[in-house]
Amino acid sequence: MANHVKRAVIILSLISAIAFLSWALQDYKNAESMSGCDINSGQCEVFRHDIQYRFTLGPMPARSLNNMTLTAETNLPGVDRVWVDLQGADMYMGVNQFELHASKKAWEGSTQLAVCTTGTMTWLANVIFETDSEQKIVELRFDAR
Amino acid sequence: MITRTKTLLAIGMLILVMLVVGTILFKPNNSFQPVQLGGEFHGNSIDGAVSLSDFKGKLVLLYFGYTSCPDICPTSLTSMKFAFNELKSDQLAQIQPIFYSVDPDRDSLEQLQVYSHFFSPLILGMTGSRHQIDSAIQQYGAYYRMVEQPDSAMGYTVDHSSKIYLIDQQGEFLGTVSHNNPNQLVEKIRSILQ
Repeated sequence: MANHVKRAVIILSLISAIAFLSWALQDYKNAESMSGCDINSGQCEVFRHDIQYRFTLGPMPARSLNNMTLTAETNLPGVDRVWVDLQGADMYMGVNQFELHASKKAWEGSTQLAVCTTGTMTWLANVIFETDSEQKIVELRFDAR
Repeated sequence: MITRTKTLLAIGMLILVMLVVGTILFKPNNSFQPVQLGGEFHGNSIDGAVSLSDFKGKLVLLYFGYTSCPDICPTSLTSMKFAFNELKSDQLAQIQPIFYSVDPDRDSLEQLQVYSHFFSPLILGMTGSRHQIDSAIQQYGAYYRMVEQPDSAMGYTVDHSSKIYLIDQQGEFLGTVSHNNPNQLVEKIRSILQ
């Protein structure tokens, strides 16, 4: 094989590999998770890269099978959807996802911890802020009976 | 010289292949996606084998529970009963409520019929093999877990999801309704049957 053909094959292979890796890692680049927001008191805030996320959850203390309302505020630009994925911290509790709807100042939604459980357990509410190009995920932690 | 170039080329290509394969296998992904729920499920009632597809053309209201359930299941089925009281007969003819027991060891098919009909004769009591139950539970994103109660005559209770799953006339999952809100259930049923 001539040298210039070899070079062309190597360059094409490199470009293809870089393009593939960029595509494959796209989700990873576009999703950022923030953990450790304890909302047992009914409210918590997270700051990351000059962006503020503020939450309220009530009524507290949380109880299984009771209605709960979550509000979320942020100055992240371009947010067009906010939804929540609820999971047990230590065990799988089924699929519990719900949408927050935009109101004047905040995003708001209601749900139930629709699982009849024995004893107290810790829940993780991953609040997902979506824009055209990215997800910002804030993990809220609270206990419920 | 030619051999050295070929070796370098081969090593380079090998690294590229490993990078691509590694990325496919171990692609880090911390984004969240909504989970698609629903699908066919199977089991048995006192009248024989039951599948979701048997009820094509009807709005199915599916609830997972067990008859020894101390309070949540009776609350949920009472909520259904109150909702049904608000519906017209032609609307009732278009729905199929199902009580699917996750506790087949204690819930016989006869017992399930008696229990379900106590709340409403419309409610079909059913259960299945452990495989059928687990499959249905997984498809609808539900959850259950046996909890030992050594100090109780019951022996064990069952922690479980408590939602009413709505499945449309074509068998497509529509969403869930709270287990203790008959007004919300009535509104949902009416809006779907319109």
